[in-house]
Amino acid sequence: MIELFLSQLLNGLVIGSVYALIALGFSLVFGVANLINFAQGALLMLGAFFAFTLIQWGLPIVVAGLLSVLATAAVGMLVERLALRPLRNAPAIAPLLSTLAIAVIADAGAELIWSAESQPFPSPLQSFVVFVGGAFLTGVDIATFIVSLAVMGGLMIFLSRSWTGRALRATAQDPEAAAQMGIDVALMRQIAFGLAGALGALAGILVAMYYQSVFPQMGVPFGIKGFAAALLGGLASIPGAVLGGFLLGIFENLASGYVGEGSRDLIAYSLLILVLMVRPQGLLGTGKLEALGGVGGASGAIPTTSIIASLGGATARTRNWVLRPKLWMMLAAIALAAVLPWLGSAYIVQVAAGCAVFAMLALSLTLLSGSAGIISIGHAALFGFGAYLCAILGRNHGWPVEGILAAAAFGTALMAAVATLPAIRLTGHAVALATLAVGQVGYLLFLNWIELTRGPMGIAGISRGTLLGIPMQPLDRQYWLALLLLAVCYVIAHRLLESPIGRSWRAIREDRPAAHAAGVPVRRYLVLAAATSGLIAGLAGAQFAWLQAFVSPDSFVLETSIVLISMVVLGGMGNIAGAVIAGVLLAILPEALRAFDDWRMIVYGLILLALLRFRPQGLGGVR
Amino acid sequence: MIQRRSLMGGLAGLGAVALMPDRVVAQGNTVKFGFFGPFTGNFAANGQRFREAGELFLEQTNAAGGLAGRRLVVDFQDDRGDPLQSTNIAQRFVADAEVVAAIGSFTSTSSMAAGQIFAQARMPQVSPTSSHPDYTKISPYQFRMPNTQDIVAELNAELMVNRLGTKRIALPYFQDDWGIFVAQATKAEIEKRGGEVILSEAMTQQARDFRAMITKIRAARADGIFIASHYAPSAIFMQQLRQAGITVPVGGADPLYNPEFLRLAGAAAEGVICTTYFFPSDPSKAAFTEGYKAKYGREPDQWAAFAYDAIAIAAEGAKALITAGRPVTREALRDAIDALPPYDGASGVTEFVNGSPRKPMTLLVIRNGRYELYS
Repeated sequence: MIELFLSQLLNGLVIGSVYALIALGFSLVFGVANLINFAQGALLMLGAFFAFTLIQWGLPIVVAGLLSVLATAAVGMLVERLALRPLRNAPAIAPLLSTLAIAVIADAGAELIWSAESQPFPSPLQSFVVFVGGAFLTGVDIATFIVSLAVMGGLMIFLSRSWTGRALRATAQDPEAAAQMGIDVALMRQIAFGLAGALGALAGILVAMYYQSVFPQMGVPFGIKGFAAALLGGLASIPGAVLGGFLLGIFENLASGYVGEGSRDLIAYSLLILVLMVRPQGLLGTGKLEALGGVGGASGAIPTTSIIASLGGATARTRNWVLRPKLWMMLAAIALAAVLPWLGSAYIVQVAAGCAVFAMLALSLTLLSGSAGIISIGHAALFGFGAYLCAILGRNHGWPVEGILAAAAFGTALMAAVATLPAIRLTGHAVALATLAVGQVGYLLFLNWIELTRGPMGIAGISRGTLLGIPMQPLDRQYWLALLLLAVCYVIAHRLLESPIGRSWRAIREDRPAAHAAGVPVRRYLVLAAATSGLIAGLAGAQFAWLQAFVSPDSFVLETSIVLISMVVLGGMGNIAGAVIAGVLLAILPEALRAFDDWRMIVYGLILLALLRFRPQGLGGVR
Repeated sequence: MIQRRSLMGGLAGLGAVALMPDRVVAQGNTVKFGFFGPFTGNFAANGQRFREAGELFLEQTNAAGGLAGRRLVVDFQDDRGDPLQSTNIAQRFVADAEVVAAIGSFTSTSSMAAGQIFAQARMPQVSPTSSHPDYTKISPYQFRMPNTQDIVAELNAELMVNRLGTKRIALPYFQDDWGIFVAQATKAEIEKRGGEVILSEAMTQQARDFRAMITKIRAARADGIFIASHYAPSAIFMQQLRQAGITVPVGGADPLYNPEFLRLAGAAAEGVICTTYFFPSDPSKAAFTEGYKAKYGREPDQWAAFAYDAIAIAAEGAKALITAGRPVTREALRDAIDALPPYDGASGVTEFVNGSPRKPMTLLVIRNGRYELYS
């Protein structure tokens, strides 16, 4: 069916050019500041809304668009000022989390200012349609394509010919040397963020014209796809970002055309995993710098392969106090929490049980990401795997609680080991993409594999059963079980980290080639880290399923994974006591902030930002 | 605004008892409900209509002397569409001894996760929207405002096959529990009536680009389209469909009856026919529509109507208890709601059978940028 192919190819080129613009924003910031800017999607959304407001004030669309691009560029610079500059000597992951906090604030702010409703966006070109055989192009498609190509071309000329462009590239290659040559490195970082904001706004306006509407959540899918496109092309490569954008756009449209709209993202993410396994550095990324720790590696004091290595080798200024409580202290604290049900409020017990589940998840992820250095943005899939195992085995097959606990623990451990395999030979940011893709594939399977998971309908009526003859229906008992599981997992994690295994994990995190050269069987240790992490996540998932008595894909979305990695960073990478505390804190904050009403998520973002500002190495400090 | 606290109020409140449920000082005779929904986050466009309708009802009721002399108090809580938060809220309501009924939530996921807690606490829960078949199976304490999908599907199929006379029907549906059930039930009914569903594909939750599906609809030579989706993606679907030059008749499920759909889709909405429970031009709904327009400056949509009826029905139950001189307890209120005579509300006449109503629905057509009764 040539008509479908042609039509999907054209659609893919148009959407792909938008992805390319966003990917360019990621690449510029990453190149210059060695930072993944998670606020890129929020910048896109803000750009679209700024233009929307200006058009409402009566400005013509072109003028409104230009002003909006300028305004969003200013917001981009503000992001640099808030997220990056105060955290320059902090571990690299702290500013990343700051950009996330800013994205949370921007999304919640947009809902307050412009309402959560979709609003119509004027799109005069949309009524102009050209038919190419059976396929068609609208005026907006043509404009999108031309504007994107022009901007990309202009950007390339700017980067290669102008003095500022060359200074930007010099900063990307070696900030120290650039500074010695008299380049204002701080200014260059700000310019990169400004450019990223401008590109985001442009993409946002094009998307708004394409959809003929604007809404506060519009940036989220484009942020993820743009990030994926940037990584696909090779994160620091400008032509790579363009290529990655176009390929992703074309491929997902073909998938949507030939397999079905429902599997568009499933196929897009599966393809990403495949590409990464063949070319971990991305299509146009070079493998050469990878040996020195990727593009940014040359800037560090010690060249290394890990994006979080600067943690361990963090400067004396940030590496001051590390929380390392004795095992009995943490167990005593957990035991103390067991008295909560006697306060007599089921509400507090319910919230506390949720906190215990998230503490387990943070603990689980800090082993994998914090200690072993596999940054995972897909942990919610393992959490969900455990929860669905519990729901399906318990409800459909009548398994006893003991059997479910064992199955959730060991099944998820096995799953984690397998799912992490594609990520294990990767280093740097490619790991983040691989785990993101694995996490999304997991979520999309929960959503689309309706025969097994019942898809969006979810699985209801999960029985809490009896454990060792004790009926587990009362909430208090579920809470105590959650605490018991948390304590057991904590002991396992503590023992592992204090043993030579933990030391090997940290060695791999700090410098993989060095660990390898010193005789550490890297792959085996990483599989072990993944399996241990999966075991704990599976138990947390099962406990969650019992607690809620209902599971649906809504609980295992990308935002959950991001909250989990935030907990790990906030707790201090590899610090299990810190992870437990941060897990409890971030799980409790949305509840504790209820009094703020509509301002709740904004206050949440501000608190996250403030915590990172004053304790960038995490509450507990890095171990 | 009532019950809507400011940032400073929040700061003040936070210091004192951050995690304790609101302990409203008992002011003589009050009846207290909990009301929850996604007031922020991905479903906020729907959740905010919920809260507006709830606040309107609260204001109108207390201005008119309350429930048989007792003041109505409502605790509004935001669950962001996150089931974890909705279970926390459910426990919060249950822990507050004054709360006798819960209204909410928008998504079936949130309603059902909270539902098992309400069932255990024997507190009635009236969900304005949840259409998931399992929702009312949780316990006798669950009620909902919309019809079950098998009833809705009969009307959908009748529209497509018998009224419009289409035989090769494309059926795009939104990928949530509601969309899947509508699509399944409608497909079965269409086939029963001799029609054929030639394409049935999901619109994923964040997708706003439906051109691939539209190309396939054209290639399959559909002679009619039924959209089982929400208004915002449907508006974009209609625009892209008309751009592609496809002019076959289009029918849609009840969420397409929404002033926002007209605003977003513009001219592309012309000729779309949809089912509805609620039509504000109907004079008997004036108290609600006029009150809503006066307070919020825009036409109410179906979500607002459902939420308004949900809280009104719970209030009606409480009123019945008070007039009969009986104490308003959670269990007594459940029985009172169940035993209410048919309630003529904004979304039609509600009479519960096992927690679900069976409401008459009407067909609307969009002509000259307005909804009109279809005949």
